[in-house]
Amino acid sequence: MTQIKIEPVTRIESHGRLNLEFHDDGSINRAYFTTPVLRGFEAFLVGAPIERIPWLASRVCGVCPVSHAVSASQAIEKALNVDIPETAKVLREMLVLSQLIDSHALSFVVLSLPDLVPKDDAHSIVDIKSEYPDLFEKGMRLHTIGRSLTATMGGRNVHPVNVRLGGMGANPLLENSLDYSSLLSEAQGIVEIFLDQLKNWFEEKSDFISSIGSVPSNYMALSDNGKVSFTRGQVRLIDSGGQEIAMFDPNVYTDYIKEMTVPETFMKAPFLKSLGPEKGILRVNCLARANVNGSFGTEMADNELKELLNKWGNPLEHSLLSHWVRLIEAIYACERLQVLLDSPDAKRHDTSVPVTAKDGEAAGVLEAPRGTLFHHYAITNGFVTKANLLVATQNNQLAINDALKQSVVFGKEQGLDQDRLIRNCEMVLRAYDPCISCSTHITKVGGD
Amino acid sequence: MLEENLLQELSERLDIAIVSLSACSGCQVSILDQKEILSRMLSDIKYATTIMDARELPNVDCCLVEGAVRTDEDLAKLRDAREKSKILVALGSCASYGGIQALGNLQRTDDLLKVVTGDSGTYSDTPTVIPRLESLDRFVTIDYYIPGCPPSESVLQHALPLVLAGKEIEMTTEHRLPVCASCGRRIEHRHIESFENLTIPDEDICLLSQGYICLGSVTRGGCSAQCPSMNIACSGCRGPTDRVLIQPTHNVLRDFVSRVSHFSGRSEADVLKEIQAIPWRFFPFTFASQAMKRKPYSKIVELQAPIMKKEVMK
Repeated sequence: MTQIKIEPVTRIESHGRLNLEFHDDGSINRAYFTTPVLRGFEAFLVGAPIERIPWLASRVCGVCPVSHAVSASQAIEKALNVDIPETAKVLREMLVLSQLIDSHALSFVVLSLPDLVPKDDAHSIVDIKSEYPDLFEKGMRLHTIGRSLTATMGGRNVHPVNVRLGGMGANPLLENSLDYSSLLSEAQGIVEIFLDQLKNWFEEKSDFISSIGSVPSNYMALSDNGKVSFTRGQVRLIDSGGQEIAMFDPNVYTDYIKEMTVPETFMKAPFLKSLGPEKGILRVNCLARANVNGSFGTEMADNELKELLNKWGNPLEHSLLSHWVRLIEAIYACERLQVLLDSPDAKRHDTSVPVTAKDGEAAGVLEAPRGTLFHHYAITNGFVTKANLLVATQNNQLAINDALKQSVVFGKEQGLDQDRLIRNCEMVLRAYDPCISCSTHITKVGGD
Repeated sequence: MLEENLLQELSERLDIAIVSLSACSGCQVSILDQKEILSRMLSDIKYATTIMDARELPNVDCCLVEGAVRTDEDLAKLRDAREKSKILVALGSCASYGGIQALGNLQRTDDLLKVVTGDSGTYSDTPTVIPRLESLDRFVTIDYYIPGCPPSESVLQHALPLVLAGKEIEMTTEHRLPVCASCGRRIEHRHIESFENLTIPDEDICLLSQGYICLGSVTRGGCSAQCPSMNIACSGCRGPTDRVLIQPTHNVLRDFVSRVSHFSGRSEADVLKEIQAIPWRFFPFTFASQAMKRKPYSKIVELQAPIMKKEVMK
């Protein structure tokens, strides 16, 4: 048995390692992705006063801090039966979708574009800058817009300050001079250009797209009456054929999902309880959101999704198609933000309600840019007594490993050299936009 | 917008690296957000695994390190970075003071080790977790600190071009003064029985004088008082002011307690007791700060003493 360790995997958020184990005859035994980073949030969130949780939870991840702050707040508000004002719901959804544009731009432009352009040996955004200066400028502009929108809604871009228990601290739309609406149109225009480009590139290498990182799996995403939603609805599970397995409230997530320890990594691996760790592998993220819902509920995003599903089948199975869906989601975010911006609730002052410290327990869920994110807290007299996080990249872990193995098998069949094999693996991994900071956080310190 | 003379500084090219230890990646994201600086320095970056395919850290002029030291692997990476760079910058509050993750130091050592071994499985091929998370200066000499969780835009725009050009940084007044200096709220003395946490503060009145634990008076400014301007109390994410850091005997906790006591009419002993009972509320970003730990009166060490959770819950 020979083992190859690629460390660090590059162009992903934080630090990860790719491990490939080969039999003596050269065939692959096992491929898996691990993380050597330890954070320990679930340990030190216990004992914290609940009013600190939104900004403590935010520090789980510097790429999707909004998702953690909002998901944690939703869990605690649910546990304490707090109804937040409609204004706060609108502002939170706007914050979440602004971050989605920001995060998808980072993933697509800065991290993955070198994999997608026709130039075969692009290794960083620096190569994009010199080879495709126009795409570079557009990508930077898109990222800047996403960033400004998030910073406006949240007070700042990384670890936004505006989320509080009971709602939002302030309504930034009332006194901000930022021309939100025209920025949204500009962002959407840029995404459409990238989408056209991507379609051409994928057309030319459609064999490759359908050959690597293609694995059957179950899919999980939030569903708001059959539409993609990032902040509302129930959790829906479908199988690899698109049939519904379950639809459930996040409070009962442990009835459906079980976590297991993987010896080589500080990241636990969830799977579907009813199907076991072999057949119960899960995928979350943009591909899963599209597969689970089949519709966004906004015009242009729905047209684009229809085209994609017609061309590549339903459910979408090829990992690399995630990039395509990611761009459609950015269009959805622009369209949906425009609707929210025009809603009367976006112009009100009542952004929060007071919260009373008492006992309770609940799980909150939302769709982070990288997939379904659960925050689960038990509270006694205003202090956290139990904390569990089930994070997007964690949910994808077993599916990522399957996709990596499949890519190696395919590469071996094609007689690819080791460098190319590894590059393909990293490419597949990046399609999942893994975020290690988020996902590495052992559960359970001393008992349950 | 950056001042033209600062942009000029960037014309002198240095080789740059960005290294990430135990962190949330937010500091790197903040750098990627500085498009003007980034577009100037992009081709100078020789190592930053988040944005480029590079697996070995080369010798560089300047290395920005985000995150704190949580494992032996973090420590090895840090020592390697120190050895290979002329200027080493602690980027963000984790690198400078340990950051929020240092709250993990509240766990007793055996509890912490249970975190590593888990209760349902054992780990192999993973790094060894060191008993206490530490800031970078516990192990190596730091040339510059750029604190903040994340470092604010104004600090990055001011400091980065200078650091990257190998020039001395002269901090602006805003960065020296506490957050309160940029907060427009007025002080109003109110009798307060105990700290307010979950109610909605009045918009124009000093949060501390309303009974909220707002750390603005002891926290480094330069953030335009973002939190108070959104009606949220300052959580101290930028760490202590220069005044606190420079004076070895400056007792920041006592400072804070006497201010609260003055505003609220409560006895200092009473206020101190309430703050010490819940370490998440006072300077939670600086628990692993070497400078703070060395202070005879900082109480940071005491605040870190193992705390029985039951006592906290009372």
